[in-house]
Amino acid sequence: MQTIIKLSFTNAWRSRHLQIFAGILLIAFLVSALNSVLVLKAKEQQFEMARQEVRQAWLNQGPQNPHNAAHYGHYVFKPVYAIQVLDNGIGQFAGSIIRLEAHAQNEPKFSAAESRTESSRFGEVSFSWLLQVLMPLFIILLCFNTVSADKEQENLKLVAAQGLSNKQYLAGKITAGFLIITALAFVGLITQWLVIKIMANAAAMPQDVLHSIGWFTVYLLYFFILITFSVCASAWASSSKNSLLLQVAAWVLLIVIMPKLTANIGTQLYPMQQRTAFEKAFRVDVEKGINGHDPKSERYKKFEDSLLKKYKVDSMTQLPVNLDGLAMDAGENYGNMVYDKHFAKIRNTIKQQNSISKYASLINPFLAVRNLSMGLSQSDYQHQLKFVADAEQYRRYLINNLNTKMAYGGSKTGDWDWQVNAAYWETVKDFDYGRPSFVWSIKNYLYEAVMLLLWIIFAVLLYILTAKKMKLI
Amino acid sequence: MLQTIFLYEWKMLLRNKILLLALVLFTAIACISLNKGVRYYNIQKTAADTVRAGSQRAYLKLKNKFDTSDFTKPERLDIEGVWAVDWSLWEYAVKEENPLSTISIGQNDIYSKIKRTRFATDIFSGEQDEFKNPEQLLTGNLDLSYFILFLFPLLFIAISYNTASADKESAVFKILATQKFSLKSIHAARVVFRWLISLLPFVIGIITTYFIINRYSNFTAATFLQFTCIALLYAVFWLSVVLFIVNRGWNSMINILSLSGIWLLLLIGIPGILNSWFQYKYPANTQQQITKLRDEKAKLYDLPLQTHSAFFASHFPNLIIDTAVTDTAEVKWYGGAIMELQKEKQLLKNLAANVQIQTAKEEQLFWINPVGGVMRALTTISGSSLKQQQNFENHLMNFKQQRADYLIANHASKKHFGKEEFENMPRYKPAVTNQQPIWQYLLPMSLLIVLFFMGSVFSKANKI
Repeated sequence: MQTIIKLSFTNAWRSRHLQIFAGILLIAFLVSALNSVLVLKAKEQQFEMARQEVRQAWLNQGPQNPHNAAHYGHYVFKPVYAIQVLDNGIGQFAGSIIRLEAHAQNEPKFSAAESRTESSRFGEVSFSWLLQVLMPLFIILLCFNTVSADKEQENLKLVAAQGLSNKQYLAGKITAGFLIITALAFVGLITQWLVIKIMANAAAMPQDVLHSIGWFTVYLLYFFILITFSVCASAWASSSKNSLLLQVAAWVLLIVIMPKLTANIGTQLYPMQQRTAFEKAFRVDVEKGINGHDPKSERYKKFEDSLLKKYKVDSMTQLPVNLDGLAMDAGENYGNMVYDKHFAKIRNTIKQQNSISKYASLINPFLAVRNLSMGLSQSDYQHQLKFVADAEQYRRYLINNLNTKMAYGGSKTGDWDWQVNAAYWETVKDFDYGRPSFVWSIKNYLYEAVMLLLWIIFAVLLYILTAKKMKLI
Repeated sequence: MLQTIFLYEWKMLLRNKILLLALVLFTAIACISLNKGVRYYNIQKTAADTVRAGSQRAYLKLKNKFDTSDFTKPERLDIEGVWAVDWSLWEYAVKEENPLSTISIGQNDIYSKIKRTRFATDIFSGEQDEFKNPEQLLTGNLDLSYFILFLFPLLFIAISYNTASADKESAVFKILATQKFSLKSIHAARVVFRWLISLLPFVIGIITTYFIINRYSNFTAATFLQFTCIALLYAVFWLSVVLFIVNRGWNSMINILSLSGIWLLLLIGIPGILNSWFQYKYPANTQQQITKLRDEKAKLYDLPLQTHSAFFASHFPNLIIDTAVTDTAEVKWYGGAIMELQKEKQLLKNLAANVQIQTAKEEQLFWINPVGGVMRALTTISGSSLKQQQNFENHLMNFKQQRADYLIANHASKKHFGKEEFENMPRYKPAVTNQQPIWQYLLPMSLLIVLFFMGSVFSKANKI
């Protein structure tokens, strides 16, 4: 088997087209690393500056009515991590800014793609793209004739004469291919990290290293599957030409056509609720609750009565608290419930749409790897949702804080000119996005991880079957 | 000769079950992509129509208030106040959905096309767009444009890469050489036949599209024809590439590797690298701009009353102003609102200038990214280019200014903003769009076609 591995290495080393392709790949690794790190650096700078500006603006409001401050609002920005150099995922297409304000739950906005031309739809040359899309082509180029060429040149007879079993022969071919690809990919990974280390502002955190290891392991499994299938296809094919044609066709189908097709099926099966319908349903629900800005409404009156009873007073002027603050807080709580209900439907639809690609990983390992790769580099939809949820939690904390100040801070009902002093803003803590752990990231993709393992089992079974059926002579 | 070759190829086609299956598969994909486009168009159209109907209802409701109010009740400001009118109109500017978005969705699913005309809503908010799934946006749309740009070449390459080499490998070159026509013309005719066959799914798709979209409003046969011509030009480009490679005299393996390499380079490699480069070179600076805009706008109201009065007087030089307005803080609100709009306008101008530099640079690079040129031409025809989006946003901004000026001027100079003033108030009308020239985007591809054809005509590689 060692001889087979050595021979495969020598053949690969001597092959002109493999040399060229490997050279292109290595250059592409470096180019993608440089570009991704430069983009990361710019994003980091922008994120930090914007975050500081917003915090300073909040702290320097001066004396102000708390509810005015709630309308002035706050912005939170999605942080960027070094790991996203490896796979930017939905980064270009997902909003990275959320405006937090009273009475409304806003969605993340301002994706990079909104200020870009149609060129953004061609995708970006990232390390993950190179490994997901280009590396399989390299594997095809490396393995399409690995057995068929031996068959055509009648080398198999010589192999049989050496007393080598089919299993050993195929295992040698697969191992050689896997070692070559792993070495190339590893060089790519080292390049990415070296460029991050040298050029990026923020040092990579230990968590990034852990994510990278998990991330790279996924790709190694992917390569093992592809190499095994490619070698076995080469053994089954009647000629090298047919083997190449078959494998290129599989590449087109699985990597070019299928992701779009599954995404398309997802939107067809689970159509998104239309904005107008969403808003209508939302308005109907929200009108059933209390509106902190509408003292004439029946519900407001009821709320007012309940407070008068609670504090055992006859009129609002006798209340020791500011009714406006409490009513607005009650309105917020009700509004939150309504928002949660309606946004949950939208997010559920998005999850259902994406689930088609997820389930299709049963027939296409590329989809499993794509999802796992985005998840582990924290640039997927689940992480986007986590950011949105954390931002919303912070909004609730912020607005509740302001309403509470308005209610119990010493102001009177109807006194909208009452102001808190400048020192108050310091007491409101800043938004701190809790970065999800490695376990959290992988937990969202257990199905894909299981599918990948299943593909490994398929690959091993195919290897056994091929070894059994293949005739050396 | 042509008839004999076509007949021969036709027979070969009927005998090749895999090829027939591939044709059926690709036709099915073309139909799926068309279906996707039609669904997309219908959803957008319904959304736009619903919003427009809602705007009209809100307008009539408000009109009724103005028709019936005598402005004596204490709550009259709730009806006629500047911000009350602006708010109660619930009017939206809608970027008309182009019927060609059924075949080329382009950037339509990314840009905001429905925006509120309320002048007190800044440029960063007030959208009424459909909810977006970022993963779907990342994957992209499987529309007919994608089919012709990405999938057609693959089918064509797969069925024609060995047109000459297979003959050479099976030693039929000598027999062919006994014919009175040159080997090159025989192979050219065979490649053309295969080209026509691979175009079949697209032709079925485009004809079906015509019958579906010719009923849509705003459909023009000229733009549809333009789209078809661009798609055909692109298909001719691939014909020239395949002819060039086939006439090199290489073996089938080298042919398939070269053609796949060209496909990969033109459709994925070059555009992907350029896209990544542009991301770095022209980053979206929105994060800071948006925070700055909010703070700058808030600071406008801290300016002294005299500054606002002076600004107001310079903005409305011919207005005879009610002294009750100039002497009170009301002028501060009016002046502030107009200043806010001016700040937004300036920001929009800056963003547009940045985009202009970016798009100009991209256009220069179409010489190394010819597929990018074709894509730009298609998005321009289907009305979804970034330039067109910016025109829409600029038009809306100008309208907001017009509406704000009208409302503020009337409120400041008249006792009541009554029925007559309401009826004369400007209402949003979509901008008149002029078809932008697209031929310059196609120049690089046209030049490449000529070069590849010349290369295959002058090639002397395929000899016995």
